[in-house]
Amino acid sequence: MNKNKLSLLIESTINSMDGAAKATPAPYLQTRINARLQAANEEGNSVWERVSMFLSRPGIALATLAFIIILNILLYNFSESNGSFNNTLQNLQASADDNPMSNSSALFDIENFQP
Amino acid sequence: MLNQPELIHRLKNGDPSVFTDIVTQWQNMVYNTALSIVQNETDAEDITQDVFIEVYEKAEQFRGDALLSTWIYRITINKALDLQRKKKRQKNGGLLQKIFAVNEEDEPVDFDHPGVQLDNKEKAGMLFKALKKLPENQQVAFTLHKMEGLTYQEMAEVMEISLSAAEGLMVRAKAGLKKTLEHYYSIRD
Repeated sequence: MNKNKLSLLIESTINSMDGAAKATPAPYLQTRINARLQAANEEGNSVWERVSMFLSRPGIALATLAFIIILNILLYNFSESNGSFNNTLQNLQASADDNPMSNSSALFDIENFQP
Repeated sequence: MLNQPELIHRLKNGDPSVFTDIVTQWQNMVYNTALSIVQNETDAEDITQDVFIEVYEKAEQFRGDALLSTWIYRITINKALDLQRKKKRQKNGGLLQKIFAVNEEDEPVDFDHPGVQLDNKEKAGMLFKALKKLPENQQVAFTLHKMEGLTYQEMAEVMEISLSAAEGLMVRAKAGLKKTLEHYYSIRD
């Protein structure tokens, strides 16, 4: 196809909707809209009903679950990286060593005072 | 016919007869705009219903600083673009779909606008196929100006952009369509 012919074809394609008739929606559109509005009104007027419906949507419920799991992982990683859990254990052990009355081996030593 | 402030006032008060008038007056406009964007009659019908339900439910929020038709156009465009994005995501979603996807150029013209005359059907089909390739704002600009017959000023108000931006969008839309159509016609021959 030569360039001039192609150019004319493209131009006529771009203008192909000029003068086209308007499409019309199927009949009873008004009836359908009214039915949907009535159903929506009957379904739930209270705020709590709407909130519970929103929260019970599968997408929202899954997103909340995923958020809680991610939050748990993040908190666990955070405590691991700071070593707070290990430090707490070490501190407890250290305090136990410093205070002989608080551990069982020290008590044993006191009770068995004879060598 | 009622003037706009009276229409809005009665709509906000839940007057059912006014709502019926609004649906009757603007259903073709909503349906045709949605149809040009989503290119599917069933989807366009669903959007039309959704638009009027939103008009009814959010009438309170309509401030009246624009024409009612402008507000209805905005709702229609947002809903049509939302659906178009959702369909694109579904289409591009699966790994298997990506692997076995048909080359887009090889896809058949799949939309047959009911208002087009027989001798223009093929060209209109090519136009709608090329329209899908445009960025959203250019697609909307072309739909409003060429299909809906809105002036640049009206189009700018609906799209909430300046007049010069609206004109620029149309220039870019036509250039984009020319490029895409040139490609389609050259691989077809």
